[in-house]
Amino acid sequence: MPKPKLRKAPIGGLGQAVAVAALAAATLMPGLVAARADDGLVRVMTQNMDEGTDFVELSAATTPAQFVAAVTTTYNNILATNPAERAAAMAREIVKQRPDLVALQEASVLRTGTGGPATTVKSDLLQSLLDALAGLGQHYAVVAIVPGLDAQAPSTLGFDVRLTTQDAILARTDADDLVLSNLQIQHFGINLTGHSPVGPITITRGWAAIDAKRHGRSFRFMTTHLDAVFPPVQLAQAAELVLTAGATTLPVILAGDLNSTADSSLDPSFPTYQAVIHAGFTDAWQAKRAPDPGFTCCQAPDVHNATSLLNHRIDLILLRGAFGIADVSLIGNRPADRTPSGLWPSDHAGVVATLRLPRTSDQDD
Amino acid sequence: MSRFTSCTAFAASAARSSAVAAFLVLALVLGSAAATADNRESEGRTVRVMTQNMYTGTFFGELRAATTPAQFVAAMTVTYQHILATKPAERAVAIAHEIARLEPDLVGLQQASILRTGSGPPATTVTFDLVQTLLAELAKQGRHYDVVAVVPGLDAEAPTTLGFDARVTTRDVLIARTDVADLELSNLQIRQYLAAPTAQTPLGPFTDTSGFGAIDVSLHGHTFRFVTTHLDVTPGIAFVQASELVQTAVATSLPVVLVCDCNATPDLPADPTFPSYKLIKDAGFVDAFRTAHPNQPGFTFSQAEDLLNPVSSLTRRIDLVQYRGGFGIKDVQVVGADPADRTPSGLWPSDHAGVVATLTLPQDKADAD
Repeated sequence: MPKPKLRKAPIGGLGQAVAVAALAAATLMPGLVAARADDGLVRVMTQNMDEGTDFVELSAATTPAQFVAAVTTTYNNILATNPAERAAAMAREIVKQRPDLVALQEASVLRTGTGGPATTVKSDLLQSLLDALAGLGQHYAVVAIVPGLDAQAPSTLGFDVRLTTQDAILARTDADDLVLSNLQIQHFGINLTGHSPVGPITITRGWAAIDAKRHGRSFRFMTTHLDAVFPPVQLAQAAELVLTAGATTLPVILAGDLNSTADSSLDPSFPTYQAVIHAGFTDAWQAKRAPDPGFTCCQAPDVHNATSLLNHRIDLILLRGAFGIADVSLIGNRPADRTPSGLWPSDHAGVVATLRLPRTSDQDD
Repeated sequence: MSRFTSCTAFAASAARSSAVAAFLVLALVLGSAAATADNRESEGRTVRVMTQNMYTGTFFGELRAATTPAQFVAAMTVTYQHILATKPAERAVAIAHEIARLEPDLVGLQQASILRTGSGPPATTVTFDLVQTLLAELAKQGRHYDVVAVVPGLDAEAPTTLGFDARVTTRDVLIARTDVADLELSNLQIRQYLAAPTAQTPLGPFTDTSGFGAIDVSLHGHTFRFVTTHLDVTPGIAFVQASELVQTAVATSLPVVLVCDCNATPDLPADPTFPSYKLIKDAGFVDAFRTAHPNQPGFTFSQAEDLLNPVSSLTRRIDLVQYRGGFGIKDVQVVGADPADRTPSGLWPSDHAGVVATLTLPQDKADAD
């Protein structure tokens, strides 16, 4: 993986010397000055990669035997969604859009094993995406991972199945002017615990944030994947997100799967969206594209439905601060976006926004 | 396995825009100048790494002893007060001074905890954040470090008798110097171990998850993986975690530096914690301290729970720097264990000493220039 610019000193020492030199060069070169008119732009994306199951069979199991059978079905269903092929399709979307920062949810890993922690990787959406991007000559690196649900159970196949859910942030490593710092990763204090025939399973969720700076304009980029089942838990997670990841004077871009229906005030999950808006965030899609519904969820669990089934909007890019919105669009939602096997890349569409960064006080560093 | 090819990246960028190319040439020139100025450059191509358990400030004994909800809430109060009595922010400053003095390139921090309060879950008012204090002090000392990985661990909140909840959030954190001209990082991995102890308390179960953070490092054209972990204190669980670690984080053809609070001693083959160490050793790892100092104890654990013991009480060596694949040892030392290392209040910086190792880098065929 080539030269991530991720850890160069943003200020002081070498970083400052380079910045001064660049500034000097800029004043000497009219072409560069002209180019700087667009330097305040950043392109961001959010994509739920679809780990390949909605846990319907596991939730329905009431006896250990049913649960173990459901593990088998879930395992087979996940593999039937061809995660690597779907990751390659999502990589192609990224190549088309060239976002600077990508928020990923359900970038999950499926593993098998016998006895002890299962470590034989059967599918790894995050790694498949990175491999596909590298294969397409793209330079992206993982800059944050939020470990989530990590559960292992026996199947009827003679081995255990382990699903490890994770969210991640990718950054372009060839965006030489984008400097990242102050990585934060936290779990929420309130998570949903489900009771299964093999004991309680906690669906741990959290958030990741990283501060970014482009030509003196700083902002925070963060992602989360809020609870999908119980609106009070989801609302508590959103409140914590705003009080922790959102506790900054920097302009903030929140790109994630909020599992809160932004387009339907009657939905029980709507208060979560409302709480984030009340905390000072602007919904980029709503601001730029309304009344276009912009549905992002959900295709059929097997992602094999002939006609798109997207009917609500829960994958959001939310902004706090004086961002300009140059463009917002959906990706992976057209029939032509499907994989060679005819699968939707994910049960969610992705969202890409091109934003003009607000001027910040450290503009002239 | 991805490899770093800085020259390719420079070329690709340069092709895009001559202005960018001009910028990069400047960066390249300044980068070489800075590398020459590095005081360790003249000593050969080395990397300095460190491991430090920062200590949350309690052994959790009162909470473990509580058998009723009322006892648990009382124990939470005592625990909260004990944690604050260890002056975590003052201790983080002392640890920052050790880092500022030795300037390790990469540091694995365990129990890099946050304590928060609130009127109900989730508590979000930060009482202290060991990493934030550490980084702020390093910046004040003119040292440039940034967070590379965070491994979330125990995150437990309970009421106190003080009128508010207290929440302890334990994490492991990997930090790196940001002012080393040709230090490049990629392939971040953060995972939790499947094996984790769950304590059944009067207020419900609390699970103490643990995991690893790993990053691939290119330094002076040499590539290796740096991994930090904190294995469980219960030998049976630590062993399962160590076996997962061996099959995941260090399953690479790259040379590896593994720093840990391994909660396992290499020095006592009869000790119940020894098998966890043995598992890692059998995966090809070399224990840097013991190799460099065959006859010194090198104890790293433990000071008294309140950190006020007048004479150091370290009796075990469980904080380890281990490596695999062609590294050489220039120097290994235990830090934070000298009476002079104590804070202005006379507290040890942590219940653990830290370990700092300076290693010569293995020859890397793909990246040698």
